[in-house]
Amino acid sequence: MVSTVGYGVSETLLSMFDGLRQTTISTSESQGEIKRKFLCADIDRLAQYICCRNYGFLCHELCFLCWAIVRAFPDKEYNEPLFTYFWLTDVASAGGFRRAFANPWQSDQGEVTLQEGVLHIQVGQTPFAISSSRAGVLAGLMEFIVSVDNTQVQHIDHTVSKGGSGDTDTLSKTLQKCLYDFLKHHLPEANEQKRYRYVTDWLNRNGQAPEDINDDDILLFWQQANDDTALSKPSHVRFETAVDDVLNTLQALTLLRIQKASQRAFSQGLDDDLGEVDLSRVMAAPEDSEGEDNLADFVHGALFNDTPEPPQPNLLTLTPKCLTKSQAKRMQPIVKHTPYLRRFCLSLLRLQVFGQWQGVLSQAKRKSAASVKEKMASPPDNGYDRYQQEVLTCAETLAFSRQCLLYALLPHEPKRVLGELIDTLPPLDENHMQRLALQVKGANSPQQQQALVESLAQTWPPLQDALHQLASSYKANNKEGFKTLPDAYVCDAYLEALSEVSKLQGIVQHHLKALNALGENTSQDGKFVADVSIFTARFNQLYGEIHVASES
Amino acid sequence: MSPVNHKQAEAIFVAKRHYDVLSAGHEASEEQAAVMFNDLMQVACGRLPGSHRNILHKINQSLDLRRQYMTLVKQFSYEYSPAQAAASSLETLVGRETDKFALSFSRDPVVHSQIYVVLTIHFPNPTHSRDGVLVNVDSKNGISQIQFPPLIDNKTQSLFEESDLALQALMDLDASIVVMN
Repeated sequence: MVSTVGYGVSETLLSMFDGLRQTTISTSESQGEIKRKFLCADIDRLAQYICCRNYGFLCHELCFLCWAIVRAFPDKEYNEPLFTYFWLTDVASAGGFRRAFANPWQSDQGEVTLQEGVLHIQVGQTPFAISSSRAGVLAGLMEFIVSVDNTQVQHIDHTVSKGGSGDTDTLSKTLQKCLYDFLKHHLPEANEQKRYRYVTDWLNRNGQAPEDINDDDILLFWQQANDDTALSKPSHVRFETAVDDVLNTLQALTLLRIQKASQRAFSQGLDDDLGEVDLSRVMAAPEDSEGEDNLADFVHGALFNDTPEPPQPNLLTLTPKCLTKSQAKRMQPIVKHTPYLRRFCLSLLRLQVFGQWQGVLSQAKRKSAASVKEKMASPPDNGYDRYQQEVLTCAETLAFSRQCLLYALLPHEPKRVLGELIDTLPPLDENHMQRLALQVKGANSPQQQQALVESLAQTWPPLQDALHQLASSYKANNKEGFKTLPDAYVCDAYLEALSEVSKLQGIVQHHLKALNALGENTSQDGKFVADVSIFTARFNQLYGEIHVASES
Repeated sequence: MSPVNHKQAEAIFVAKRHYDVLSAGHEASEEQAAVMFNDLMQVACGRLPGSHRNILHKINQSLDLRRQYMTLVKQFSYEYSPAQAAASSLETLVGRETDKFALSFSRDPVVHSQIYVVLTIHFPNPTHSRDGVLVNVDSKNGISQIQFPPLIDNKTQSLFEESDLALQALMDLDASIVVMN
């Protein structure tokens, strides 16, 4: 069965549950014998409550228990009933619980009695009952809360000592908030978990393996999710949400699989897409003089495979401005789903084209029925080809901005610029290359380096041409940050933009390649016409005639 | 497979092993396991005779744990005696006295390197006569714990070597001493 249980649970949280499982206790009843405090089953149940964020009632129960403890649990030794109950007696067992409340208690505040293994608590007018079989889970929760925030125990003690049922309610809310704040950093959001669960349930229902999901399945998922009338289901009205949810779930499943594989040392290296390395291929690596170095690099890379930060297109709309805002927005879904550019190329294409149309429709729906009708009648014309053209333009803009950035950086970082340029020029022969390397090594200051670049350009025409190209691009660029050459102290922004542009260029190229490959296999036009009818039918259902009729 | 390939495979294996040890190995050992609130309580009340040294060691290494521990210890104390503002002399053995207990030292008349510590509890609890008296000392060398035998006529004593760190902590006037309930 496909499941995302365990995804995104932090190491800290896992080690806390491990700690709870290993907690030992020696009580006065056990005569110095040290034993495990909690039953594994109790901690498992607690972990389930916490990880499913189903701890509201549990906190409530704990508050009532604490109320009963400070009144009905006799502690002659220390006069700290709460501490003694939870940490100096064997309360995690049902027997310990029954012993602790063997004597009934009664006053004008309420009463506490134990009948047939169930603790009946009356706080003012509010009755509450706790079964002795809950003792372990509740003691575990108390330990968990104190590990999260050790000041809570004093707070609980203080509140329940003075209070009636109203205070118990407030206290329960405080505890829930404390857990909620902690879990924010250690578990995926509840909403996110719910979405993963919805997708995995759908996969299981349809008997599909995550590896077999394709573009048509995503479309089917979107349609079926929209037909699903269950009240508690997450909304999938927008096609974009459906694509995001499916791809994010697939990503979560992949991560989980890798996590499990690395924990249990399953065989790895068969999936190139995930950056895994096939050992047999490594063995066949060329055995040149630098073999040892390569090996060291490889081992380091394989072990500490540092994933670079994904680019942020929005940064490129600031100074120096390399992309327009609409272009950056267009790139957002591509960047978000980089691992799936090839596999789900068609879905991303649909998302970019029909997602945008859907946005327009939902805007129109807010305006008027007539507006919806008008927008519905004009589907994105020539959609897929036009989108491909848009991506091409974006790639050109990026290449252009890159040239301008290089030109702006030339006076400050000549070495770096030279390095970037050489990659794009026809290769030099080996003698030249060595001489060049020596010269560059000798030039330390930016001025020296720049002089070197200039002298090199005079003897090497391709470089001269490339430099001219940079200069003319820069001259033609009138965007923010490219009007005058930057000073050295703002250089960092340009360097950062350069690295962002390079990363984004890689992704856009990859996307373009996938789009081309898609175009080769099927006719773009035919595919587009078919998709238009599918999406129009669905959008009509969502925004169209019925709604228009009912509104007017 | 050629010998070089064997070497590569071995290098990868060794590196992976090292990485496993670095990343996961230490988590598993008991030395590094996290200290839970339960452990602090159990040690503060002298309930974990076997492993209290290990836990105390960890408490002494973390300022946060040390604060938590001292708060707990004070909460469960019979009497708390803060650092004494008096000059100490090496020649005389200076004890300390509060309303609820007195601590005095006397050198063994035969073996001069040994010192008797006599603890007098003025208002003892039943546990003091039954299980003995537990003392937590917070000195500049960290927190240490000393267990005295059960009281007889409100008094209990222990014999220490002069070089014993626990004795030095008890004699240190800058240390705060907590006699547990």
